[in-house]
Amino acid sequence: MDSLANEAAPESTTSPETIIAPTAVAPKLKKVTIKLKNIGDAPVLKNKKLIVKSTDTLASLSKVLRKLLNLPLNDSLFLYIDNAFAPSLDCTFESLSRCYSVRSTGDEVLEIQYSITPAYG
Amino acid sequence: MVESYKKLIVQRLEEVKQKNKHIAAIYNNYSKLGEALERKHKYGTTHTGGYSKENEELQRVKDEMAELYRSKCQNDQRLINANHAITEYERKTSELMAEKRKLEATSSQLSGRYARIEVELHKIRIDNEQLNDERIATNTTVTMLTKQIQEMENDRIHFLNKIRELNETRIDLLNAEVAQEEQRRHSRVQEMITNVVQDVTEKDFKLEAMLKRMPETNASGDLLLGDSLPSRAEFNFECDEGEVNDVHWLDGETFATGGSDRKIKIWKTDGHGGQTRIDSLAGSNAALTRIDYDRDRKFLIASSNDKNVRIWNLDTSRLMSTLSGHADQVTCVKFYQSHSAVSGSADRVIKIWDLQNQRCSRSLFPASKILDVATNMGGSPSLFASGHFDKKLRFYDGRSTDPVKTVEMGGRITSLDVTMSGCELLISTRDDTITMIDLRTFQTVHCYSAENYRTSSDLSRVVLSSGNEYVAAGSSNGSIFIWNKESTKLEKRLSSSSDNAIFSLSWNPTGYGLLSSSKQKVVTLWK
Amino acid sequence: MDYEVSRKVWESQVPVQFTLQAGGPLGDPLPFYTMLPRFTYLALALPKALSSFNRRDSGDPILSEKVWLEVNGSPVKMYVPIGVIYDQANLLENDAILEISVKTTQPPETFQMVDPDMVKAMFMQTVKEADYLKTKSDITNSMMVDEMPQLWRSITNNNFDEYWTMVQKLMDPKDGKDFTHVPLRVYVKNQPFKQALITLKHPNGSLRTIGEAVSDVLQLSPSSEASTPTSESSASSGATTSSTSPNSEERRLISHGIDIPAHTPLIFASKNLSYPDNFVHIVIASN
Repeated sequence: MDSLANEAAPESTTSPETIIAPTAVAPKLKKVTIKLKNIGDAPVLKNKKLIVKSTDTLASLSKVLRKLLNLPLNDSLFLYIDNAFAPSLDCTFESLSRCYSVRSTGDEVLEIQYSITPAYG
Repeated sequence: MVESYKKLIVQRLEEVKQKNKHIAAIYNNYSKLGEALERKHKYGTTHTGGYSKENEELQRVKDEMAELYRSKCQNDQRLINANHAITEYERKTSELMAEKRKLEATSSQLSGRYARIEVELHKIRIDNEQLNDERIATNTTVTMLTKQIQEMENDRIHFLNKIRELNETRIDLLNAEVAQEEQRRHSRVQEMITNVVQDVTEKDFKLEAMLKRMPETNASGDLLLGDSLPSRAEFNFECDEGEVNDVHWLDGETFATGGSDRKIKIWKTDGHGGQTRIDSLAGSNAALTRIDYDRDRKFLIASSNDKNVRIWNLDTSRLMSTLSGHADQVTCVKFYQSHSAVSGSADRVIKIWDLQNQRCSRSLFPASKILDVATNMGGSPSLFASGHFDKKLRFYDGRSTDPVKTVEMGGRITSLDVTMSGCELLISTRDDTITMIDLRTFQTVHCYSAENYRTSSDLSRVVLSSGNEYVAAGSSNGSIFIWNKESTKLEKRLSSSSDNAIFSLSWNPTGYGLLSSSKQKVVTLWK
Repeated sequence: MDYEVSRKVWESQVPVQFTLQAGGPLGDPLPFYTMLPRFTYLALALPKALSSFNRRDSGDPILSEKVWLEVNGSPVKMYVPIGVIYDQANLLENDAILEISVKTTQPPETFQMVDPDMVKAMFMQTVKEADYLKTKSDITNSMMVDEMPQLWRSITNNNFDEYWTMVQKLMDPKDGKDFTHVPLRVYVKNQPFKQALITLKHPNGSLRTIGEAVSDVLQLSPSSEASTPTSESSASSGATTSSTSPNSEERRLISHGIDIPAHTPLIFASKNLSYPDNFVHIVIASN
């Protein structure tokens, strides 16, 4: 967990991780590791892993991702979990990780797919 | 507990629903109000002017309304009247309809009847025509027949005349015949007188001898004049309806016959070739088979095919008693000792009857049909003999139930007769012979037979002459054979006019005159 | 599934008041009052309210793209079922009506305008998520192309019979398997909803109740022995402030405008008390 956070932290400095970075200081708040994957024509991110606050909602990730992908607000961005459904943007990462995190290399990772066109219905 | 949460949930949902219902109602009203308000806002301005005009208009309209109301009232009244009229008419119509229906029913009934009558009429018409045809046919027949009748009438008159003529001729001939007969009798009397005059010496000797041997009279008290060989039929007459099973002299002048007409008839000879019936004893329900009378000639006993034995009083001609007990036809009966009788029957039973008490005093079972019995045997008064179907002659002493002696004969035994002395028994058997046996030795003494002699029936009767000089028997061909008892020589053969079998014979106690009865009604007196 | 309960849930409604604060020359029009089914969405109900306002023949018609909605002074989420919004507004006690202010001013950043097509898309995704939790998407994957839109149509047409045939397919899997997890969202005041993997049964095989499930989602100790020590963990939620009495006594589970008995089996709640999006939405209220 700590190693992952360290890994992600330096990389996120380039992107507007300011939302995440200051809240990460609060010791009682949990962090959630996210692994992003592009679908279809969506551009690939340089940094696939993100660490977010558990109280943040998916909507904030959406905003961050738009900035990362240089997507204007009018263009659509779709986020999927397990290539199955698009979770509600109101959903916090706490809830998402409790429901959909996967344990890949010993640590819990929340895998999220993103697309600029509707992918799964 | 189970489902309690569900109950709670449903209940709470229902409560909320009820609450919301009220709110919804309010909302509804609100929206309606809102719409109304809007409409008013939109169109409200148009209504402000011309109020007085409206009032006037209103007044006018009101007046009009009043007027309309009035006319409506009138119309209503008229409508009511019209309705009344309609109901009245409807009532009448319905009455008429009912009437009409009734009439229709009657009409259909009448038409039905009419059709029926029509059919009947048609039938009658056809019948009428037929009858008419028949009538015409009959008429022609009648005229034809009338013609025939006319002819026949003529014939008849013709024939009548002829008959009258023939009658006259006949009367003439009859007169001639009577004259001839008169002449013939005269000549015969003449002849007889000369005969008698010739025979008188011989007869005297005979009479003398007889009187010597039998100084008084014979057993029955009749004056025995000595047996005379009958040579001709004195008379014969039809006395019965069918078979005459038995004939029996009662005394020198009267005799009794019995047969299938179920009556015993008593006849009296007039001595001149005629007879008159003097009595008739009724009571039997079937043919009578044998007749016997007691020593005093007071009672007559007869056996009958109706299984009974009856006794009549000859003085009063009354039936004294009916002795019943046999199970089949009673074939023979004889008085036996004093106040008793012996009867034999086809039921293979011999019964001894106590005549005073009118009951059976004894029954004997010889195991064969009994065809005749004989009593009054010399050896002992209680001894009697019975002839049987099984060719056996049985002797009983009246005490033991078994026969004291049994003699086997050559055929079925049809008849028995005992000699005056009681020492000999004459037996007729079905092998066409007649046998005389000695009752002391039970040995055959004489045998009688003839070339043309045929025993007539199982019950055919043979008799000894009153003086025991002759033996007489009737043959099936209607002849009577008479043998000399001692010499067994056939003395006489009497041929009757008919060839009906002779069933029974009876020798006159005086010895002069033999009665025979035949299968066919006829009784003949031979002299 | 229980037809009676499902039917009653379907028929439950909430009273709603729309007020327009346009500030035009004629003043604001009269409020629009209506009863809305709990399962429907504001995005679907808005056009009707706007048309009521637009009946006035003066002024420009108000378009749905130009307005934003506010409840109790905060922007409202138009993609949440109205029933959940009502329950969250904490209006149960005084039987109040849901007052929705339609504003024509510049919408705040947190407000997201949603049109019916978007609600439909989001609804579909929510159903998929629910099915992902229940059966790992077995049912939705096996459904015909037009079956999901049919479910949506039953909502827009308020047609229970159609809904009933569809929801039975979603709630009663043909193979008769139990749900692996129950789609459950718990709303605590002033917080985003919480969601977790909740199984139907305890590890020992007994049925989990809705009360226990909510406690698990809120990461509280089981409700029966919930007491002050647990208040530390629940302090973060902010739902309970300084009450000394046990949480289980205080906590009320609100859904469809009623208190859901805590002992209701989770399976029953999931099959019969779910909204059409197949989620059970429980709002936590306290006395």
